Amino acid sequence: MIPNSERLPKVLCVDDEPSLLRSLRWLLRREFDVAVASSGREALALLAADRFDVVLSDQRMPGMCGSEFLSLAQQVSPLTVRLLLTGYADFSAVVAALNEGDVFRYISKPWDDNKLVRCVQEAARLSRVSRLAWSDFADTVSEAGPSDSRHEVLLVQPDADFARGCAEACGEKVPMQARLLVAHDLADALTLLSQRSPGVMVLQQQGDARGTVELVRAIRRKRRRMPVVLASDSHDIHALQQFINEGLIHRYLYLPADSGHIARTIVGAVDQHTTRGVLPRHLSAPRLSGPTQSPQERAPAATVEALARKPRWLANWLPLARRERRGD
Amino acid sequence: MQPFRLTRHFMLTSFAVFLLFAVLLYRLDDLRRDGLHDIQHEENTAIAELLAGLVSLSTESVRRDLLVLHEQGNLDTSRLLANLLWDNSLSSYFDDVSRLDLADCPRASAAGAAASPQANLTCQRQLNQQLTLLPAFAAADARLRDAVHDSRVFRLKLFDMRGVIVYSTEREQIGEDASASRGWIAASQGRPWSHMSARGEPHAHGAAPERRDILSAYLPLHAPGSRQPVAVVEIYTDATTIVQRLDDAAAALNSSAHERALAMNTRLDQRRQALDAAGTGLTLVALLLTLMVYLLLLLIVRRAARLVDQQSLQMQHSRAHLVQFDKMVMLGRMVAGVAHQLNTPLAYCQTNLRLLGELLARCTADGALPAQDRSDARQMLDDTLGGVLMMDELVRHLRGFTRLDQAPTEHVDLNAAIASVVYIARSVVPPHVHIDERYDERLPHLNVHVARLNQAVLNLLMNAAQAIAGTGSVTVGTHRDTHAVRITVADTGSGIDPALHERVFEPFFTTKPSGQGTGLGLSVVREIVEQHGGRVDLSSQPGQGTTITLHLPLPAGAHP
Repeated sequence: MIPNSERLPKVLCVDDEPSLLRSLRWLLRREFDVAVASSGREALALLAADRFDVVLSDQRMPGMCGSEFLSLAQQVSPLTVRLLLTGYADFSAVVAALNEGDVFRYISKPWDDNKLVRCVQEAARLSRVSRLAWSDFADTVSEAGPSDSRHEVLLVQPDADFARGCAEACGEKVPMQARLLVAHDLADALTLLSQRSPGVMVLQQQGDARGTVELVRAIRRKRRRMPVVLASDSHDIHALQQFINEGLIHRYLYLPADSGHIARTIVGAVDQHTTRGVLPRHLSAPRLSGPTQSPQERAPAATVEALARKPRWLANWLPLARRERRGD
Repeated sequence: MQPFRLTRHFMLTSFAVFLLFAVLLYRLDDLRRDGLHDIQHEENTAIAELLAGLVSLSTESVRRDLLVLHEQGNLDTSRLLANLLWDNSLSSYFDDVSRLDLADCPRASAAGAAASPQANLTCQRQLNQQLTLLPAFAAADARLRDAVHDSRVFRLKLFDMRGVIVYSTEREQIGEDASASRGWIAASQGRPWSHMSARGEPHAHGAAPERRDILSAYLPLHAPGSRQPVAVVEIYTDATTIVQRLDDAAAALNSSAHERALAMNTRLDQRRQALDAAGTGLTLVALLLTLMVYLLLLLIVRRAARLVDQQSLQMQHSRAHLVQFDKMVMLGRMVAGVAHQLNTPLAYCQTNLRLLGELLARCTADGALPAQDRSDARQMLDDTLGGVLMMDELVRHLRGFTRLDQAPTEHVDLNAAIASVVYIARSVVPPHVHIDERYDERLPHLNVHVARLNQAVLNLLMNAAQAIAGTGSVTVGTHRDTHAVRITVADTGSGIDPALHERVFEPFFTTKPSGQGTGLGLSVVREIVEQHGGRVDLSSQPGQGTTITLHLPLPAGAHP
């Protein structure tokens, strides 16, 4: 799939079940350079020793669970894209994997072979592109000064408690000056989004998850670089899977949360936005893709693929949006 | 434990109190009535006595006054007689009498005892004749009769100073010796003496009883101008009418007093009866009020009891719901664990089979397979078979765990049942919790409700796993004792505060944060074990861990 790549992307599979590891290896070996580890500890050692593009970890393992391992893996090898594989959706584990391990996708067993392979391919591409951009990032970080709207946080349809928590978090706990824009309904939010360009959006889920998914999709299409933090007290694992696997949200803030936790999440999101602001736009929003595989959602992957072949300077300035529209 | 029946309890106790109160009230009323009666009786007697005393006292006093009045009147009469008659008739008569020798007639005073009555009588007759034959007698007699004629004086006697009756309007009495009579003695010494003789009382000198009330007065008779009595006059006055009137008055007084006493008695009786009635009414009212209060309280208590019953029913319902909810939560977690357990082999089996298919396709195209592919295919088949066996084992354990298809009570191999529970639990508890199994092979087969016991053991395993924060282990074991089978679940978790050892078995008691548990787990475990006639023991050391032991009694005939 990546013809001019000298070598196959390296994938590390972690599971305590040897049969499963063998099966994964057979499945992925044609397109990837597959390594396996039967525990988190072993996998961390491998990560530290070698450069892996993708790590695919089971959630339920003795000793160290998947989300725990992935958060450590992020520290050990930040540019390795993380995938979570789980036999049964354990909601808190998935939230932990997203918030602490920053997983790219979350795959449930039993998987669809094609989808799994495609998912790993996407992750590998992202990893490669990130690596390319990352080396460039060190030079560009100083020139890309922060804009005024960078520290604006748009808070959409919060209830009284959560609005108070966010105000507290932005007033006291957030070390940098973050301005809170509060939109009490969607119309407000759209108006604010058209007038200003806030760095982070914090959306509190009201009503069912399906509507929220649509809403975030719509907003993300407009504001690709803006990390979205979803605040919700819902336990809906399928919605969460959708949010993660379509790359809709940056963090899931499980409510009720104290202001310290809110502050940490917002700071993380602002940092993310800062990084994305510096990174080329197409790289900074690589996650907008979904399992539905509609043409426009497949577009970013295609763009990334195309960009990976182009010179770096071109990648920085290419008007990506036009290409996307053409894909519609 | 017998449930506390509020209404029955209240009805019994308060009815007893009510009865006691009624008896007490009745007894008090009785006492009051008796006391009232006694007091009235005493009062009546006292009043009657007082009235009678008053009447008799007043009668006495009137009689005495009458006597004194008469005496005075008689004294005046005697003076009048003396003044009127002394000079022209009496003095001459008395002179004649004084000249008469009365010595030969024995004196009653001197020799009364010696003289026979017959002799006395003869002597008196003689004297009588002598006196009546005296020349002055006739004149004196006429004059005296004249004087007393048409007056209240119906008899007049004259005594000389020797005590002899020298004149009497009753002629046969003349000559009698009256020197022994008290009246004469007093009068001869100058003191008047009166006596009232009641009707029917024998008269002084042995005469027949009079049918009249007679006032007799002995009065000294003075010669005009003399201070010495010359004779004694006895005047008999008829007081019958006055006395009769007096007696009538007394009787009237008496009867009136009696009437009044009677009337008062009646009135008092009426008052007492009224009071009695009022008292009884009061008692009745008090009883009625108490009854009303009782009924009112009964109403309230019954309402309260109904509410309490409803609440406890609701509580039971909500508890049942929660138990069900707890089971569902447990089931959900079990399904999650089992799904994970199933999904892993399912995942690689699917992939392996698909890859085998690809290999097979290549094989038919090429006619042969490279050695590497062949060994891979072999491995894939082995793995797939292993995965299928794993799934089969899981399904078998699941069936053994629930045993929905079997009778509730049967010969159960507890070790196998618990092994199934542990197998299931392994897929549910966090991976860092290790479960050890130590089964006693001598365990007999027991008649138990295995699905319920499995639920209890699973509950305990879940609790134990939750008590372990980091890595730790849970040890499940069975032991055979002489009379019981023990199932122990020991963890190396946080332990339970000794103060809470009893409370952890209470329904709804939980140390987990709100929303994390219903607090029913251990209470359900206890319920299940108690259904089997056993008991639950808990020993725990904070920071060291907790061991919970289920004791199930062995049937009497069980042998190792």
